[in-house]
Amino acid sequence: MKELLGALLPPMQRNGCYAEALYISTRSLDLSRDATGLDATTEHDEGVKLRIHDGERYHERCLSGIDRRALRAAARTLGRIRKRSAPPFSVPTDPLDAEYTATGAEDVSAVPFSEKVVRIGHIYEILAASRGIANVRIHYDDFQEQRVYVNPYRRLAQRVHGCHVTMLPFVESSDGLRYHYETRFRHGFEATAISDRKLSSVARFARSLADAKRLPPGKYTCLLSPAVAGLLAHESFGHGMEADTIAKGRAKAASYLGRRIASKEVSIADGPLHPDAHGFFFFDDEGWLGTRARMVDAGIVRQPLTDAFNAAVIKVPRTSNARCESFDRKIYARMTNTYFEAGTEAKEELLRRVRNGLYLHYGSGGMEDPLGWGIQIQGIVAERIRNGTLTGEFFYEVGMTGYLPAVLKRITGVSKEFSIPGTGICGKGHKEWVRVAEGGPHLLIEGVPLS
Amino acid sequence: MIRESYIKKRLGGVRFWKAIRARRRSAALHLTLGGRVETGLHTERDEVEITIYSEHDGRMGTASFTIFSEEEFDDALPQAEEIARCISNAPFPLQPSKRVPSVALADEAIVSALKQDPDRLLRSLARTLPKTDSGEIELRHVRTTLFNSEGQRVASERTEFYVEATIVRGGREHLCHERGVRLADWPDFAAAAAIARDHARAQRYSGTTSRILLSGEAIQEFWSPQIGLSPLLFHAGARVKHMGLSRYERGEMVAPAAFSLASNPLIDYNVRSSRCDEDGVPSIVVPVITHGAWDSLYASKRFAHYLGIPATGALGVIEIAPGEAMLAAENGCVEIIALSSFVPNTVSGDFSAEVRLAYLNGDRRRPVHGGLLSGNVFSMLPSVQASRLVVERPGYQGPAAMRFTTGVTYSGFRVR
Repeated sequence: MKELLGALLPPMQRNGCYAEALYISTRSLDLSRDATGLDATTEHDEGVKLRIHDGERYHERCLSGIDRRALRAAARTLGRIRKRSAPPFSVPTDPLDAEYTATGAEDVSAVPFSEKVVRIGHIYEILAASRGIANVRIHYDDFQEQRVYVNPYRRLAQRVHGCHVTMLPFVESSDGLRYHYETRFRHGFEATAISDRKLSSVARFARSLADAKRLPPGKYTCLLSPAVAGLLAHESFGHGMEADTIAKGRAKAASYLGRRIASKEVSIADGPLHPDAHGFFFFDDEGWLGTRARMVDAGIVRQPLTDAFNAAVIKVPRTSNARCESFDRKIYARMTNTYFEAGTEAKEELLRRVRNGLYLHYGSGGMEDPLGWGIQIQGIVAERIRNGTLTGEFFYEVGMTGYLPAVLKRITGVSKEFSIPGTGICGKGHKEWVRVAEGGPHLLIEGVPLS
Repeated sequence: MIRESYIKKRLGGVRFWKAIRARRRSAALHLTLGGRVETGLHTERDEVEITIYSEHDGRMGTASFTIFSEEEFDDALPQAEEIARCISNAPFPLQPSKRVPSVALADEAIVSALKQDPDRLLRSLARTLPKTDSGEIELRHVRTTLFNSEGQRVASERTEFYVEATIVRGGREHLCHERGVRLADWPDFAAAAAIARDHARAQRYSGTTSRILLSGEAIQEFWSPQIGLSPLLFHAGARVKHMGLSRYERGEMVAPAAFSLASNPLIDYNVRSSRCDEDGVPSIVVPVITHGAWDSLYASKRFAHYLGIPATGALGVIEIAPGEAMLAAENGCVEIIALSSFVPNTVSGDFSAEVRLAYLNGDRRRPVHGGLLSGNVFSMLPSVQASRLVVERPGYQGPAAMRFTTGVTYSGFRVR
């Protein structure tokens, strides 16, 4: 594939424009098991993005499959476009030819389909037979993603595999069914190795939601789990640090660059190089090798997340955040794995400091507001904390709001325990979905507006 | 290019199958600061998705695969057959040959522009944006042919535009994004500009009320969310009913007698309309709630067969019957125009959403924003009142405003 893409560059550069080519192939298998039976869907998406920059703008031609004739014709079409000036961005000119692989301990491509069915069936049966569980849905999916990137200096290939299991046990409540969900991601089939003991704890947590109440609106002292801390980092802060959003005057973060937004104990970062995290990759869709971007460094707003063009527009260093949903969608500055960095205190110590508050277990998602920095995180499951102890009193479908800088300033504790449990996808607005993860340590925050 | 005749020939040894061939052409323009073009993008996508249905021991297994060229077929079919053999569900029939209704879903202006000079049309559309610093415009044309082993064959054509414009006023932004089938429905951005203007001068809401009037963007979002499905529609699905997750009980009253809601996929030039579903089942109007009571489920061929009900084809535009009065937000009521995002829990019906713009007592001189609207869709229904005035939007055709006095609370906070 490198050779094919490499051969397309000279005709694209005929009039002096900067040229690059990206091949993306994704094969995925979705399996869902519920009371209606078992469903399987395999998907395959494949195509090539050819792109030139004439000094003022990008021109792209995107074609599905690998049709050599059509690709050569598209390359010739792009080659007719005249260079107007040098590109406004710089690209690394040191030659690099490399291949990277992350397929996990048990490569999903080597596991027979029948074994996947058996494993998912086992998880389903255990949960369905658990006391108090009214219904169960298990969703399994694995993907095999291949990306090849070529420009005049770089020839890169990466193979990244992933495997998800999502468990949705349903319980009866006084006002109908409710569900709990837990999800697990690894690069390989080892994601499905979930012990019966763990499945029991999933069922137990689901049962605790049966009597969960609606939370009276108010401000609460909250201990955020890594999952909810990650949502805050991703939805409320990360989107506003995407360089294209800043370049278009749509992000309040622009006026905060170099300024303090939180105490020095708080740092927020983004980077793809976390093995077994859902936003993992080795290089981005403009061939930039994976790096860590410290968006907030010891409380000070620092590094936006960039693609080549917008890094040049706002004059900040390049980071590995140029990503597209598929070969035929635009490349934007996007998050990867986004998280608060770990602190020094033990989680149990933070819990002990809460006399009357809430532990926020997880949320279903959120929405960005990069210019207003308003927070919206919804679908939170919360548990009452009294005198430093979790009480088993649960609240369902809690929403979090507030003004981000005010909430960040009220972070009074950051745990040393750290994880990146998120396994979601992220849109730009309501489209352009890419796989991401979010996480962090436990965060202790005073006066969080919840409803 | 993958030929239909080739697919039929190669599937000759498979008893039951379905194929969907899609050819998509699109062009997009992405604008940046100063209205400069950042990227111009042309795409071509040709693919065929094939599903095979394998019968074994009185059971049925299904598997699907996608190919981009005829050469891929021989590798893909054996893998799909292996998968189908491992799946053992209750059998169901495929859609036999049957005419599907005619629904206008293509705009010749978009079709011809994509064939000839899409950039010219994109540039002229870009000039209509209220602020070009961060606009995106995409034009798309998709030709789809569905054919199966039972002789059903449906050829469809669909066009779509997508436009995204950000309006920034007084340090606050309003992101306007619209989809449509034809250029005649291209937005004028007046409503979005009004939201941006009032959002800029809105005070942060600090009260609490359970008397809500939803209108503007919020009413469309409430019934036809951009992400996911209305809880009401989720529970009216045959699959969910078969899973044992649905609240649906035919004839049970869930709303006042004046309230009726249907799924209508037959409205011309609406992005949620379609001639048939992915199995080739002809689309029909499904009365989900009639005079306040659960009426019919919408159902695919498979789950209709399991439940012994008619298959209905694709879910369509949410159509709600208008009321008899002009609704206004009286004293103590807040009129909510725009939500930041509305993603309800489809199973329980619970939701919480930040309010982007609202008016105290419906007074346009008193805009407020912030705080959370939280509640439960099913608990709200018993108190619903619909306005006489009707709007048609992508995915929604119904009252321009609806009032709720149960099951919902709007809570503000003093946060700074």
